[in-house]
Amino acid sequence: MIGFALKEGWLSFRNLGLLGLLTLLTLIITLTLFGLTITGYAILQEWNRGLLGRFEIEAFFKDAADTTQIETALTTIRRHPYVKTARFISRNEAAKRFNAEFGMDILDVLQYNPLPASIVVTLATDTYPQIAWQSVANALKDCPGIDEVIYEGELLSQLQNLYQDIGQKSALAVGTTLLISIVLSVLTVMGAIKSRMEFIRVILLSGGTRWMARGPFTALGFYYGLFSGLVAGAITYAVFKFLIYGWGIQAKPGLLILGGLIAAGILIGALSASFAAGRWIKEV
Amino acid sequence: MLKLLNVSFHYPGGAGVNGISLELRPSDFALLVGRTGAGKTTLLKLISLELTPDAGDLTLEKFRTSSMKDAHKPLWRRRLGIVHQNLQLLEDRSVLENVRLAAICEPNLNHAKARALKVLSRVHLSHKIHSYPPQLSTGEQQRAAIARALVNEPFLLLADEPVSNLDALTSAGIIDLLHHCSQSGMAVLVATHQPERFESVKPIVYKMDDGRVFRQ
Repeated sequence: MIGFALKEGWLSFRNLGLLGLLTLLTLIITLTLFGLTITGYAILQEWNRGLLGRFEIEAFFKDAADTTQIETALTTIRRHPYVKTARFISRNEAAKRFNAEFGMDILDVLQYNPLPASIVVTLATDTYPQIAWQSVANALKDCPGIDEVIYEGELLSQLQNLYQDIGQKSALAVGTTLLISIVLSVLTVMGAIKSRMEFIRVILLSGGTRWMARGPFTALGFYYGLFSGLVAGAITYAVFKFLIYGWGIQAKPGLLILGGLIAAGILIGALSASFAAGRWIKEV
Repeated sequence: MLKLLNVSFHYPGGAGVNGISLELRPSDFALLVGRTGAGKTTLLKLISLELTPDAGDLTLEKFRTSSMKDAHKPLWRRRLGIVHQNLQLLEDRSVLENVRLAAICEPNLNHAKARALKVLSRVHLSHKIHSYPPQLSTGEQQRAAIARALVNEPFLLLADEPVSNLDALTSAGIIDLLHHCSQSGMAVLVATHQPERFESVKPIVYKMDDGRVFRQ
């Protein structure tokens, strides 16, 4: 039965009309957009991880902070799940850094060392940026003897908003094209059903069940989905590889996206066709 | 056995059939005769379950319409072979594909093909299996339609005006073919307005008039 449905579905698919071509194109656009969105998201995730590895949180101690408070702060923050490293910089080391960076001894200039001791924290790269930065910054603020915590919070918030904005617009675009492609798939299969009423009649009057009559049209949707998924998958995969090799971005999914798009295409095509067949193939 | 008991059906316009009762046994060769609009095609559509009777009961072997579920409709139809008046051959399919398509319930495609080839040989169309319906003569098209009706080895063969557009010689060939079917154990019911063409096979004749049937 499946062999019959696939064979008959293929015969219909080969006689692709204008509406069929339009359906195919829309499905390809939908799936490509979907694939590129996932690819973009995967790349942004990698970029985020890169950012996390590069940025640091600095917590400055009060002048009056004693050794116990400093050790407590260091121990607390090193135990924090989002923290990769936490390094203590004493007032003397801070002065040496100032000297190395600006070429003058601060003690010569001010006759005293105004630079506070601090902890410099780097974050684990497998965490969600916004949550990680805020959590670690808050933990530092709660430590005894800490005067001020500095990190690029504003920049991270802006980046976070940008991700969300891109995500929402991509989802809207994918949703819209998905809706259009479903409608077109349904219309295409409806057209195929209307043009093959005699074929359906022969099947039903020869003792075929409604499922037997629907099978070839569901298979037609399957082919639309399969073909669109293959093309969209190939485009997305090519873009993905270009970004990885061309821009040196490290990201993992690759073939998973290709498989996912083919599966999504088959699902959209077969379900739309199945709906159309159920709606327009009537008993005789 | 096919048995109709007081079967009635009315179209919204009023025409139809009224209280039809008839019975066909294996090897029966029966004609439904009557003028155009007498209800012959309606009766054939009732037997093939294309129409649902308003009243009465149809029995085909172990199935009865009055107690039959919708799911049994295909099983009923697998026991019928139908030759439509306009033949309804698919023009974009070869003769072999047309016949094989009707063997839809055969799960193995190769077996379906073997059955189609066998039945095409029986109607003497083995040499035309790769031809398309428009490439066939009217008589050959009729034979192809009969082959399609026979491929499921039905109990009952229904033929609607099978010789109406054929010359006398071709018509005789088709009648001979239908007669062979009945001799092999199949019941054959032919709707026709040319009963005289069938005299040679001594059929049972049911005359239809104004939606009623009378055995002659």
